[in-house]
Amino acid sequence: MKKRQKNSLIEAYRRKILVGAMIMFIFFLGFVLAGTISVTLDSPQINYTTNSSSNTLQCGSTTDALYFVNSSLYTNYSGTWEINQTNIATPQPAGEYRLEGTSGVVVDNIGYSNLTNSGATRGTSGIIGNSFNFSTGDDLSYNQTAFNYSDISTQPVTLIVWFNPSSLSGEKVLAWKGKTNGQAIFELMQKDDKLRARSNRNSGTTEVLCTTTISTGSWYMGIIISNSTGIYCGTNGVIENSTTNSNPIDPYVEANFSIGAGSYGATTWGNFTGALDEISVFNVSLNSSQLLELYNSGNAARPTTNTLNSTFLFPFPIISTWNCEFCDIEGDCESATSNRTEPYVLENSRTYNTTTYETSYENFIINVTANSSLTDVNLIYNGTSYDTSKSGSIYSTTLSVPNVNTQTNVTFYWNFTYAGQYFSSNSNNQTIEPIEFGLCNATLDVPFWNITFKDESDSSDINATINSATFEYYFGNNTLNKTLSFTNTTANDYYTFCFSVNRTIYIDAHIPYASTGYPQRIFNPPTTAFTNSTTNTTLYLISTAEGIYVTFQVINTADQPLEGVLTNITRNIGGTETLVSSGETGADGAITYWLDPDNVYTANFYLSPYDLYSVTQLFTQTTYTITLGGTTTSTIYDYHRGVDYSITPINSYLSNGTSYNFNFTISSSYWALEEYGFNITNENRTLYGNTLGTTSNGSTLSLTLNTGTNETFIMNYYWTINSTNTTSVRSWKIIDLSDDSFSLAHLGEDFDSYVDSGLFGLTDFGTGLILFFIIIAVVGVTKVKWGISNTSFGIGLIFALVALFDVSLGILPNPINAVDHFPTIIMGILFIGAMAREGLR
Amino acid sequence: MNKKGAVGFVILTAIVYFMFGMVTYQFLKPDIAIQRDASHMNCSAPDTSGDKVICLILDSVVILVVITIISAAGGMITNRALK
Repeated sequence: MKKRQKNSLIEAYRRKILVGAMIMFIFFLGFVLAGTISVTLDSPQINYTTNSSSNTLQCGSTTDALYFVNSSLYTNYSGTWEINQTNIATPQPAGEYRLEGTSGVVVDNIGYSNLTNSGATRGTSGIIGNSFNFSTGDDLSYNQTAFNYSDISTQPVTLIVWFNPSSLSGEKVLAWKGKTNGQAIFELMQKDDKLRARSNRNSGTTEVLCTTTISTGSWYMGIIISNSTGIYCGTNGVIENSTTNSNPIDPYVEANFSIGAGSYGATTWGNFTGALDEISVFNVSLNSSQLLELYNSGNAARPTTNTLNSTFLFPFPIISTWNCEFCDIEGDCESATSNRTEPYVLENSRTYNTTTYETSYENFIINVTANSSLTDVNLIYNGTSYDTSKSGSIYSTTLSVPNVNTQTNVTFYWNFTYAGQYFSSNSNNQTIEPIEFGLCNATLDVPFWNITFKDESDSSDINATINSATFEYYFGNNTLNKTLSFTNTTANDYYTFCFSVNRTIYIDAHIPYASTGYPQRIFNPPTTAFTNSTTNTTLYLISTAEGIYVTFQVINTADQPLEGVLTNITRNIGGTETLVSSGETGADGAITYWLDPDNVYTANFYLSPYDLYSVTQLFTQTTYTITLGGTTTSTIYDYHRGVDYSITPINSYLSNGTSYNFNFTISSSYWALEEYGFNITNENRTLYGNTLGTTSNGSTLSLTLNTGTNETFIMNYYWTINSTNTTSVRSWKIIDLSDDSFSLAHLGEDFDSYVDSGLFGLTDFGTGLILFFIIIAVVGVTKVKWGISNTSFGIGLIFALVALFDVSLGILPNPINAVDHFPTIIMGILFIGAMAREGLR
Repeated sequence: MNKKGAVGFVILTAIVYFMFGMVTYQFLKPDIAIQRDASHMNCSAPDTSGDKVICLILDSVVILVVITIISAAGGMITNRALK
């Protein structure tokens, strides 16, 4: 007994466990059958983009439920997202009859209302899987309770039926929901070779025909929409016709919802012949997109899985985190979150000219945001790569626009090197306009440069030819240029050249020109800017009779000839230094110009690394040697030409303490004097006076000064021409005659001094001996010459000579130093004694 | 011309000659002064014996010229007077 109870208890537990397992299985099956939804994200790394362009994010989802009912993309940050859905979410049908079953009830896949089949042949091939074939008699499938008023009749309804007719004549009901009075709540009927939609309202039009002509043996998607606005008939996803009717349907005893024939009560009518498949009833009005989506889905109106891909366009700056979410008709929703990464290169701006001209120097700038992995940016212009320079976030480069001759659109873009990857920006176009410089004509009519010719000697107008001239012209930096080669062998008095663009153009011209009786010169000015304000240029020629060929031999300090020295000849014409000819030295270091020997020219010579050498003068010789190699510029102007001047006093010495009139007289016959004058200083550069004049051809300037006790007077005189001073100095020695520098006293002093310093090796004895002999000689000569033998005369003569040497000259040695002039005193006493003796005699 | 007239003529001639000589020798004075100064011969302290000799010659130029003039003028008068 106990054993039997125990077994019963075990059996009860087993049953409970089995029931629990079954419940869990049912839950699991229910969960599986409830449908799953998966969401996939596509957020690829963007290499390059701009902050103004639209970028794409893809969000896609797949479900095994019938349809998606909602999808959205959102972000946890503010921002506007543009949604571009590629699929259409379709509402849930109220009933769906796939007509797959071959027996039993006709299953409503939604589970709302199955039908009862009566006579239709099942299992025939349909648009998808099986279908029902209706052939004879009263074949139909029906259910009176399906889609009653309470469910649908007061609401919008959409009925879709796929059908393949086998007969075209008569009225044949595909599907309907009617009332027992035979009126249709909604009905789709084949009427002959057209489709008809019908919905009986309490008044107004009740039916409308589609326009598509139906053929037998083909599948069609028939559509009826009945709502508060009217009745619509459609075929194959397109509403083709409609009738307006806003009236409601009168309530009445409801009849069957049937397919293959109309049915109410025992009455069956409008039997369809052919195949029916995939019948769906919606309690909403499907819109045109939804209808087309169903037609084109490939799944008729019964998708088992649905894929929805949405494209989201967004601008930068980037919203870093975003989500997308999908919900299916079963109410399942899934979402996904993705972290966006910054693009490698985000272009902020770019700068360029949309239109340019040949030879222009164009600047291209791109401003990007990128990290240090961006190591190189190149501009690809017309297929050629150009390096850029970086300054912060700005990359720039310049290039010379190529010559195209006709208007040309050139494509350019930027290449980026980022962490070993290479990618490009989008492209832009730049329009290159051609440029043309040439002799003016009907189409080239804006004059930029007018060239005339004159005789350099008398400035008379002459005609000249231009022989093989070249004009290199450009806008940019002369990396690229265009060249006009021009020759005109018929002498003209002027040539006017025009340019096709109203912009400043740079021209490097080389113009050989000549005339009859005038040897050729070459005008080769530096590159010059020209505008539509016409530049007038006069070119000068020298006649054969008045000119000479002057050859300049240019050498360095080692006497080596210098080749390629840039030289030119200018001349002051009408106050303007005018270029008359130019050229470069040849291999022999020489260049020859045709010059007038009567005119002053400035010849300039330059060759790097030497300094400019410039000389202004008359070039009267046939050859000059120019030596380059100095460290300073040598500019020589002959500002003495035609200038005469004189200075007084003319003596080179002046007496001290005396007033003198200092005059500076200047005249100029060639240059115009801007200023001239002088100042007077002494030997210590102390200024004693100054004066100046401004008469252009000169005048006399005067200044009266007293020499005083100065030793020297210095006159600094000058004249100024072309802001250049020409200076010179005149000096006078001031002497002091008051100290008897020339007197006899100096003879004795100097002689005594020199003797004391050893002059002639003399001592006092030797000096005294010489003077003794001189005195004896003088006295002896006197006696012999004139026979004077008087003692007193002789002693007097000796006394005079001794006094001369002793007192006057001081050179007679004194034997008795205690008594000055002792010899003179002795001789004086002797002379007095002799005179006394002579008197007593 | 009698003797008195001849003597008078000689005296006048000698005076003219003397005056001409005394004017002429003045031209020498500045040059001698310049040559003797410190910037030329520096006769106060000449560097060489040659300079000393030249300085002595410069010193004696004026007196020699004066002696010559006086001698010439006096000689003309004396010579005429003694004849």
